[in-house]
This record gives sequence, C-alpha cells and structure tokens, in this order.
Amino acid sequence: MASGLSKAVLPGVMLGLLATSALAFSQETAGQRTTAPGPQTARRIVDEIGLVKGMPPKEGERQTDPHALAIVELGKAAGPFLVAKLTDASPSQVAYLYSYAIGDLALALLTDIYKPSSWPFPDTSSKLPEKYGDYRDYVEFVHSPGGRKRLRQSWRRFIRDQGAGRPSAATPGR
Amino acid sequence: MSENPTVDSVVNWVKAQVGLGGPVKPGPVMSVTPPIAVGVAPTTLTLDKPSDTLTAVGVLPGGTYSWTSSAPGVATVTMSSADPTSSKAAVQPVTAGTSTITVTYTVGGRSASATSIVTVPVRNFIIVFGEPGTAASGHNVGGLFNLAAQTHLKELKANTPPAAGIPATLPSDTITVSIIHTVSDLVSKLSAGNVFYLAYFGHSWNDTGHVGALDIGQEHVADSNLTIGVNTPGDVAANTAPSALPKSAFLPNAIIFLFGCRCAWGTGSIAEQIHTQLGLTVFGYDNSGGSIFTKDKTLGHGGRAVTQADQSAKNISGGDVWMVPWDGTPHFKSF
Repeated sequence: MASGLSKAVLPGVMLGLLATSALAFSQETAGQRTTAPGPQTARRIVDEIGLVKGMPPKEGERQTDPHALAIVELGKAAGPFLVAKLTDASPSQVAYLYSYAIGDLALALLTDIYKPSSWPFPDTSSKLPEKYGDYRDYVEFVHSPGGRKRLRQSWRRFIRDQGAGRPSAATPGR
Repeated sequence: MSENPTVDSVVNWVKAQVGLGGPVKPGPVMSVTPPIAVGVAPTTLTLDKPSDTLTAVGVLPGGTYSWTSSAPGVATVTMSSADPTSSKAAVQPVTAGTSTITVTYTVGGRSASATSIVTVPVRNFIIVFGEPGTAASGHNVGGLFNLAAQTHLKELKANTPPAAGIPATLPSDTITVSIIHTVSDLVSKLSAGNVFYLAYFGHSWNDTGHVGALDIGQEHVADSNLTIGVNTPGDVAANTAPSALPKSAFLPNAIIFLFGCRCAWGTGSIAEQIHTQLGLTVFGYDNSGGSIFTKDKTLGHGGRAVTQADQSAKNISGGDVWMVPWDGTPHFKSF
C-alpha cells in the first residue's frame, strides 16, 4: 500500500473529470489560484465509488486505489454524496476481513476525509454494541435492521454541523 | 583406542620377578592376542534435525556395543541396531549445547571405546503479531492476530505446520510469541540472535503502482510500518525500511513467513523487499484479497478454497484460529 515510489498515483479518473468537466470552477484568493470541483463533479467522482478495489488496512495511511484517492482528494466536497451512499448495501469490490458494501466503502472514505473523534457515529449519538470487540461488531450492526440508516443520520448531523464543502487536507502517505 | 594384553602379561611377570606380585612363576608365555579397537562416524556432528545416526565398527567380530551420552540433557543416544560387526545409534537433541557420545565395544572381557562430539545448535523461532487495528480503520481484529499466532506456536511445537517450507522444530529450539508495535520492536525481538524462523501475523498491504508494507502499528505514527516506501516530507516518519532488520541476527538458512494481506502479491511486495534486504527465503500470501480468520484446519492449511460461509463466519473466538486470504485457496509465494 505504500506509495513511496510515486508520492501519489495520479488519480486519473479525477484529473480526467476535472479536465473535461465544465462544472469545475476556479477561485482567486489573494493572488492564489485554487481549483476545486463543483458539486456535480464531486457527485460524478463519488458515484464511481464502486470502482474502488482496495483500502489501506490502517487508519491514516494514504489511499492507494486511484478511485478512492480521487474521492478523498475531493475533501469535504465529497461529504454529502458519500453520506447518501451510507445506506447502499450493494456489494463493492473490496474485501478485507469482510465483504464491503458500497455503504461500508462510503463510511471508510468519510472517515478518511473528516477524521472524526467518534466512530462510526461521528456526532456521538450512539455507540456500536461491543459483542466481539472487533470488526464483527460493525458488520453485525450494519446488517441489523435500520443500522445503516442510523449511521447516515449521524453523519448527516455531523456534516451539517461541520459545514460541508470546505476542502480538507489530503491524508499524508508513504 | 585399544589395549594390548600382551603388554600387561609382561608387566605382571616383571612385577612377580621383583617381588611386587604373587609367587614367582615361570616366565611369561608370549602369545599374540589380536588388538581390539572401535571407530565411530561421524566424529563430530551438528544435530539440527529431530534425529541423526552414529555408526560404530569394532575391529574384532562377535563383540557387543554400548552407547552413552556425557550430557543426556543436551543429546540422548539410543542403540538402534547392532550386528557382529557394527552398531548404529540414534542421537536426538534435547537442549542446545554439546555432548560427548561414547561407544564401547567389548569382546571376550576386553573393551575399546570411541567418541563423537555432538553439538545441538541454538535456534530461535520467533513469532510476532502486530497491533489489531483501530475501530475507525474498520480493520480492528481484536485478539485474532494473537489467536492465530498462538495456533502457529502450537503447530510448530507439534511439527504440524500449515504450509510447506516452514521448518521442523526440535525439542532444543526456543519458540516465542510476542506482540510488536513498531519496527524497532521487531528488531528488538530479533536481537535474541540465532533466528532460524520468523513469522509475522498482522496487517499488511500492497497495491498496483505502490510498494508493499507491513502495517505493524495501528496508528499512523513513527516507525509503525516496515516498507521501503518513502515518508512524505513534513509527515511523521511512519515508514522504516527493511534495511533496519539486522541480517546478523538470522542463521544463514533462516526462513521467514508473512501471514498478512498481499504480503507476496504483485510487484514490490514486502516479502520481496525483505528477501532483497536479507537474502533469506521469504514466504507470503500472493492471493489478491484481504484476509479472514477461520477455525477450519483444512482451510488454514491451504487444503481448500475459501467459501462464502468462511467469509461471513463470526464464530471464530477462542481455540485454534488460522489467518488466510479472503479469496481462493490460500497460497504462498516465496522470494
């Protein structure tokens, strides 16, 4: 997962979209030019979450999958679109200890972007039941009735309080 | 070694003549008695397997052999076969050290002996497991790395390893299991020296266009990953290169097994990096997926492919636990 040979694999999907999308916009701030994706671009990039094939096994490490990296580099612009996917229980291509649904991937990427102090309920409205003391607690919770919806509610509140759309620093990596 | 009874006869006669012995007798009858002798092979032996054989040959036929160990606490010796002209004995290690094995050959009340120096080498088998992972990573395995490591310990002791290439253990070997949090922790464990086998259980990854890593520590903190990946300027130095591993700690024919996701998958895997650095044989899973834990020994030993039931199994706490790749039949690749 280390990206030492290339500091970051170019998120081709993101660059391609930025280059071709008329929805990307530019901001001039005190002589400093920054380019941020528009909401529609962010949505389109997040909608390709199903192309993600792998996730780093460890919190805080840079994403190595180009599609995952493209989403994380959207920063908080991706937040609302990822939150909308939290209830998506359809399968993804990622498997690490358990088979990730699209909603699980969305949660992982939200966590990478926002780095909340409380997980998986960032607004601290709830806690996972501690039956196993490991990942199985999460898996059992999201498979319980209404589990994913509770997560979505918590993240909606959290992002509303945070203020969506502000860019966040990309995760440093190796 | 040999003795000559003819010489003894002469000595006794001389003693008698000078009044040191019994009544004066007629002079000795100078008879020629065939010398007795015995040889053993090999004369030195490094005992690095469960049992080895010493062979003794007596020069006079019809005698009997007996074998003894000067240090049965280091190596035991048991006669395994004997015939009128030779004998074989099995030597087995107990603890590291040196023992002199003596074979005594006796014919007609006379005997001779020979020795073989047997050395039981110091060999350390080191099993380490990394931190479980944080909840927020979604990859918190709780105590499962530890359980898998303990199962590995049990199988090493019983010499029922889960994969080909894992060396057999001897009663004289030292086997340890411990958690590591950083690369420095791993180096510290290796400082025991004479490492013959190293096994790692923990998080790891590799991806196309990147280089593999052992994610030993669960936080993104200094020295928590083993990889040649460079550290981002301004970021914590989370990556430590395999050049930190002390080659001198390993015995020349040491083996390393990495039980983690994609440890030998793709290019630039961490198994390949360690092999390149240390010149030792390094095994790792080359399946493309993540990992799961199983209580099924057949799967744990790579005897079948992972099923959907294995992937969703939750009842894996306690008892024997194996860590295997997510998909396909567990398969190791070596560098």
